[in-house]
Amino acid sequence: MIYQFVLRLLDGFNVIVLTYFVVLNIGYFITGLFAFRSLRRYVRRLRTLDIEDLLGSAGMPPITLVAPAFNEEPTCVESTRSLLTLKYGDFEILFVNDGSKDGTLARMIESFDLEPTFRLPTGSIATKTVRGIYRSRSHPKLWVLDKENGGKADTLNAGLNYCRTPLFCGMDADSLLEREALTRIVRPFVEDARTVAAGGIIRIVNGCTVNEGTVTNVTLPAEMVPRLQVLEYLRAFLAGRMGWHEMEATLIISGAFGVFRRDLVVEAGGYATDTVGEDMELVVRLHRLCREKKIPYTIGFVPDPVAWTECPSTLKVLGRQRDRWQRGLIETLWRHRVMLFNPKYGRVGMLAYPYFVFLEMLAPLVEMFGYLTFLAAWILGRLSAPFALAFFGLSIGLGIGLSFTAVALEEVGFRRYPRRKDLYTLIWVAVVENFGYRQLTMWWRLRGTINVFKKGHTWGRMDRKGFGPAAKPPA
Amino acid sequence: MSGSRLWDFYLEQPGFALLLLGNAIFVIGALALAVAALLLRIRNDRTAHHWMGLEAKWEARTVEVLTEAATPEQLWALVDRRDRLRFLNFLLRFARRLTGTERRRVDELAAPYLDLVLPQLKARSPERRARAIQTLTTLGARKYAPQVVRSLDDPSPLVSMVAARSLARRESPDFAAAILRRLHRFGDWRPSFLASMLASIGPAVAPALRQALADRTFDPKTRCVAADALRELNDYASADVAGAVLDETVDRDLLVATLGLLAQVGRDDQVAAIRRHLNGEPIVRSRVMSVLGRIGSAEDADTLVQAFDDPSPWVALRAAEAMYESRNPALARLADSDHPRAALARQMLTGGSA
Repeated sequence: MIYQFVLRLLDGFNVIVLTYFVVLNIGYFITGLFAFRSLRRYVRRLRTLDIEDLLGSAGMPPITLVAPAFNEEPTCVESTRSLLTLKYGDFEILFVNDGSKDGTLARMIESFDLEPTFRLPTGSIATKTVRGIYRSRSHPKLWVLDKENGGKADTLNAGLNYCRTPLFCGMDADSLLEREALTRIVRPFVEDARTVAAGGIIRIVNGCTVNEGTVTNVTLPAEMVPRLQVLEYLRAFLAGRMGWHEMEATLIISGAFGVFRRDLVVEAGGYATDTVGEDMELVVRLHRLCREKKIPYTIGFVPDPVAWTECPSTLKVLGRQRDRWQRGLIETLWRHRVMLFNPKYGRVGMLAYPYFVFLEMLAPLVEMFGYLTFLAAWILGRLSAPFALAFFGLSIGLGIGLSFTAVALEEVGFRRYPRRKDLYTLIWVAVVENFGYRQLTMWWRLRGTINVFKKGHTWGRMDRKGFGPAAKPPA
Repeated sequence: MSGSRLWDFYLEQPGFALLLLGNAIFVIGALALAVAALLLRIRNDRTAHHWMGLEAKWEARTVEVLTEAATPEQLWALVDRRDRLRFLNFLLRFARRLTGTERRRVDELAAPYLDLVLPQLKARSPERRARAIQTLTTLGARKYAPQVVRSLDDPSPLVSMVAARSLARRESPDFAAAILRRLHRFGDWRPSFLASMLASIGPAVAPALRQALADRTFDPKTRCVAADALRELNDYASADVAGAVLDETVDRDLLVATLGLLAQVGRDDQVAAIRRHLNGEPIVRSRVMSVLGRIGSAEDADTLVQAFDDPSPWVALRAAEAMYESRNPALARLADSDHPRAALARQMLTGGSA
């Protein structure tokens, strides 16, 4: 009797898991369709844009680039040099050293001829103590804040306190922005005064040739782990964020490259220091603030301003990163749970939030549950071949399909990988990633779900290789 | 499970079979996308190769025409009938690199082909209409101005803005009036950007801007844009208009824009009216400090020192700048004192800016 009940329960679970996957993939598919529509229109619109003309306009708003850094000795000089060559009228750089334990500050002082100076803080968000302020004698646009260690969000807040421009760009100190990236990402702020935040696209620099802080040759990395991430990033940004942008429900702007209205972020209280997902949390909080105070606003994604970043090249580091991302997602969604299915928050509350809760946050749990029930059914002799086919068909077939969609979107939109060989490789990787890597990712996310209850909020450790020869393509 | 049993299972459970069918359709669709991506790449590579070759030929001959080593007819002879629009696109990009006589020569080279662009002004896609306007205004003579002015009323804000910017580059006050009348259409755009666009027309636009600033029937945002543009133009003749606006307006943004204009062009006899706003919001107070630093008198020195203690750091910052600009000796005293913001004064004195 009990045995029969267990078997029925197992069958029921299998149907639930299956249904979940159908809904999940329909969600991805719809987002992909929106992304396709949006991207096509955007690319057409780009043809009517004269970047040089925009650059020459005195009406572009001044921006402060806030680059938080912790133990960035190998890359800090090159990435700062890259920032100094940005083509934009009025900008300054606030490099914020979060009490690095390596020689980050010393390298900055030596390389940019920094001298101690004073700068009046304009904000009063609570942060760890700022120990010193430096300004470059050779590059007056460059300022360096040295503060006690407090984590990334605390470091961004310190930068925000010293920001004097109407807009600021939150980024990673090790990211390389393309020369025109600022001009491109600021466009939404110029074209629509309601814009409070805009995110750019993050691309992976591993494998590319970097010359004096500029990516000069874009190729896929030779190693498999970074390659897999190239595809993931394409899927996340071109299929995911572009789609959500089209639906006017952007919930995530990557911490590696996003521009925000300073006054609103200060009003919202700055970055949250008690979460590892401070970038997503800020965007969700801005949605809440604007909706609750009835401030007309828009938050969007712009697919052509590029920030190049080095991705983890080992599974161990990658696992830690994904663990953090999942924890950040859960913490944010839990904190703002009032928005879930709340019509007061419009499409964000009724569409994006439920999607992220049920189809992103819970996905690792359900997928792992699916594998377990599958295993149990097999052990108990209840495994039916049709179910097995359906499950794997959905799980793997749709995974491949979605990745192909991302590759197609890249081809329609930007074609940043000029070698045809790289396109073939991406298509191949789209197939391969489903056998092992995807399950591993799910495991890391599941671990993140468990760790949400016990981990602290420090910087994610990343073993950097720098942008030198290691980042060049193989001969 | 054999094939026939599997089939029986699906027949018994049609929902399950439908699910698999949907899955199969999706996968086939995605595979088609991957194949399409590959084909698209192959086609794009070929097209790019073809156009690069063609444009290399055009570019070499265009340079010869510009140096008078070849005639325009020799260049036009290289342009196949079906490549005419492409040729215009090439000239559009080429023209952006040039100025003066050479630039005018490129316009002449484009002239025989520009009428081909006119039908695109009626295209369904706003992006195509916008592109057509860009081509006509960048390469075209004034003869296409009526079409472009009409495009200011295009239902698409993108087209309308491209038309406005194109006309602004023409540096003609006639167009300025047309743009100003439609400024409300660009309500979503950042005011500083609009001001910069208008100022790019040049001093000839100033009378129209002064009129817009003075006209209470215009919405405050348009008047703000006019004030910012006049400030960019450094238009001293607008001081009286600005003074009058200062007395009548209650709109904060307009007040801030007008104070910004007065900081640039104001006269000392207007200082009394400016001082009346010393108790405004922080953004207004900070602007007042900037104006007082430029045109204030000796009796404003104490006001600036007091503002150094203002709860808003922005006001203190502007007060420090104003003291520096007006060579106020109090700044040095503050720098040597144990005032909590003494370092700001020191920074001003050594760096000259905050």
